Amino acid sequence: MTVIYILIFVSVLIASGFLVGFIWAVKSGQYDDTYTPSVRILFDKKPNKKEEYTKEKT
Amino acid sequence: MQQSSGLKNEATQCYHCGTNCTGSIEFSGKPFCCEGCKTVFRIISENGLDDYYTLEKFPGKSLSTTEDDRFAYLENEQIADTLYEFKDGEKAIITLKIPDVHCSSCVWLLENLSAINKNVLDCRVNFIRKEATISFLYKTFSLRKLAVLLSGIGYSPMISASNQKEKERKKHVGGINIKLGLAGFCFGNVMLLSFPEYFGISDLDKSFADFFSYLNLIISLPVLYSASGYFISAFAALKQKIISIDVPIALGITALFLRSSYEVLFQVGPGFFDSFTGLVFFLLIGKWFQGKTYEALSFDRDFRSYFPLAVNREVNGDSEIVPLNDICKGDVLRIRNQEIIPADSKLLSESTRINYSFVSGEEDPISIMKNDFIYAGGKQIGASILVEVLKPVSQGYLSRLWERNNPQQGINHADILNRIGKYFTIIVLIIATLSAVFWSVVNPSIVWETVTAVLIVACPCALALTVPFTYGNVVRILGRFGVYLKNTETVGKFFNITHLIFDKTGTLTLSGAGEIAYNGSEMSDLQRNVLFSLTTGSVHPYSVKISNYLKGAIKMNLDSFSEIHGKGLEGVFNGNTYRLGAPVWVLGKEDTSENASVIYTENNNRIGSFVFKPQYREGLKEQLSKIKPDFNISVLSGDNEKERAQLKGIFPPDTRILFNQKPEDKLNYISKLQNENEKVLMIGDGLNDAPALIQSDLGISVTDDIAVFTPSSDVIMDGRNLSIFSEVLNFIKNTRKILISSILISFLYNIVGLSFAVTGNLTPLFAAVLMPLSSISVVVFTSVSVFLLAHFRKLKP
Repeated sequence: MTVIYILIFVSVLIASGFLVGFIWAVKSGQYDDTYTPSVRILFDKKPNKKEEYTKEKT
Repeated sequence: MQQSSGLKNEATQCYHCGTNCTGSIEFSGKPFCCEGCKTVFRIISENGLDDYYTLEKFPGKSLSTTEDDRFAYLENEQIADTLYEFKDGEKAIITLKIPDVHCSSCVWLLENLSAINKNVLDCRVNFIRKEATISFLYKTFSLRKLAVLLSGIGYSPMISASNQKEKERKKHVGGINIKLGLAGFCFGNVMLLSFPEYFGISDLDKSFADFFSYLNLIISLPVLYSASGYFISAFAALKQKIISIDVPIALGITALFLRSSYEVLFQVGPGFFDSFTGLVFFLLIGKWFQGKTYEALSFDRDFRSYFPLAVNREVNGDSEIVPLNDICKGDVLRIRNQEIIPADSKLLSESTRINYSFVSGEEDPISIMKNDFIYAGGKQIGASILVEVLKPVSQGYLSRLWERNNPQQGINHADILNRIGKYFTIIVLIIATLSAVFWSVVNPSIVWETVTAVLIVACPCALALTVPFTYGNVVRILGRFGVYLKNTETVGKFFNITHLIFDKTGTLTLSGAGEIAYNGSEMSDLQRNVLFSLTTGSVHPYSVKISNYLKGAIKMNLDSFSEIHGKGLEGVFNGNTYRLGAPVWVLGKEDTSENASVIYTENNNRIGSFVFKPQYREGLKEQLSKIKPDFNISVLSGDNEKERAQLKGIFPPDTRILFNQKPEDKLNYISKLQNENEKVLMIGDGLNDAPALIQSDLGISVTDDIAVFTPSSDVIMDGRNLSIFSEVLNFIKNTRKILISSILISFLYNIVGLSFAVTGNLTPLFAAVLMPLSSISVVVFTSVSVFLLAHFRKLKP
């Protein structure tokens, strides 16, 4: 049954890993803006057309 | 611009902003409503950013004229430095408020700003806050150029003194998230490790039990950090000799932790660490729920937000840009069209017109002659003028009015929870003492046990959750109806209101809009066109309204044209003299026959007259009759009496209606009512109501566009939703019953818990069940009943 000491040690260690991850996420500002990224992800990254652009006639 | 009259194709919509237009302005086969929109399109498409138009239909906003001069003061490095968040040898980072951000196309275009100008390195948009954080090369591309670039594509940044304050505020967020996450982590783990205890661990596994207990103690330590806010706030309250609700909470948390540590360290029991961590976790959830705010709105603007950051000072014929605070008495300032006069001053130019709508609420501009006094806050209309400063900004009329009633900070005495907290703490301490006395006689060995048990179980966790969840839900529901509360405490302020005060212009009436009526003989085409030519030459609001009214008329070249300040317009065409203006000037006598605002004549023969009527918001009368039984109502108007009859028709008979009220009069009227023990709710808009909004017990500022400036107030309300105002008031009043019921429920749990505690029967398992049960039932009860109430009060989106 003493294996339970090791198991609990491992489980607390893993849980702490997630806690550290969470704190890192908050500190790095991932919770500052929870809306804009949902808009941003829908934009396609297209090559810049500026070079190909030829000035249009008015 | 070519005037294409007769061409009335209603279906044509501007490719950029979607406004209906004639289609006469075209660029690469696409119609535009104005040159502004065309220019924006050209900038965008020349830089290969056409996707802007494919993400959303008509994403743009019609441009008002952009003047580079508007941002001239940003060239001043001293001013620019106060706005930067970060700056090194070549790069600077700045966060700008951009009110026009409204759709995903806006985000896309702004984030691709570097494609338009290579000096912009990066741009990140926060859609909710309507802010863009931009890093750029300030050495080659000044802040002014950046502002002009943004305005050029239709996203004019709003730069004011409040920007500087925002910078300081930006830090210190995220604290509650970390504390909550930490408490949740510890709660979960301690719960898991406590399970063997709940199900009864056998004597064989004694070493396991000890191991779990010690582990619980270690895991619980970080929760002390999560709970630190309660200790600090309780300590602060005691220092001020006040017992707030945080005092019994801090007491309970301390008792829990000390008792549990003692039990574990001296191996007398498993301790209450599950209750301890759970308690803090639930309390923090309440705090987090309460913390919801409307980030895009600003509730704490002072009058300085309306003023420019810097002005043009004329020294020996040279013009220089100086920050507002550096202006001294005797300085000569140049004020351009549409600029705000920042300090009380004297006019040096011949004459001008000033719009005091910010200060007095009166929309019609006032004529000012040389050497006349001009109050700070007036808006210059017309060509640029020179003024001499008479008083520094901080000593002007507005500033003094503002400083007279600075809202006090600190612990809210009126807060219902803090009032209860006081008696609650006293009662709990009495019960603890009594049980200590009783047990010291009967069984001295369990005195310490019962006293700590009383303090633990009396910890008003459920009670502390009632207010955040009741008010928090109210704030969320009202937000859906365009009523934005500053914070959850604001809800409590509604309960005691006895007197409602309305401002007229902009609050009851629609600002800008208004009916215009023409009385008189039918105008010939010539008379129409001449009138149109007269009015388009003037920027007076009446002229602008008449120009709009005469849509389709053709502008002609008049033989002569002159605008006489405060009187009217005069023009000559084909030898005939045409006049449009005030009755006294046009006719040479008062006009008593009708309520005409301006009269139009040809060679002194009257053609007709125009009447301007403000347009009142819809459903006002019905709303007011519903509100009437519960409140006294007053109307304070900065305007003159011409609207009295109209107002009387809308308001209930015994309403007090006062005209010609200056900001100071409004403020005094409110303090007078407050001295008569009335609780006043002020509903206003604009800077002229700002002092009154602060003085009142609850200030609501009404606006048609929540992105624009609103004076500091407790509530910001979308003007269109004034039509459900009585429902909103009714809804909030009824939430009080929900609040009281949930307070009673939480008391019930406390009584049950205390009865176990004083008899010395509080087990860790019992505490661990009671604590979450009471909290969850309070949360469920308040949330469900607030939503049901909203439903039955017919508050539906």
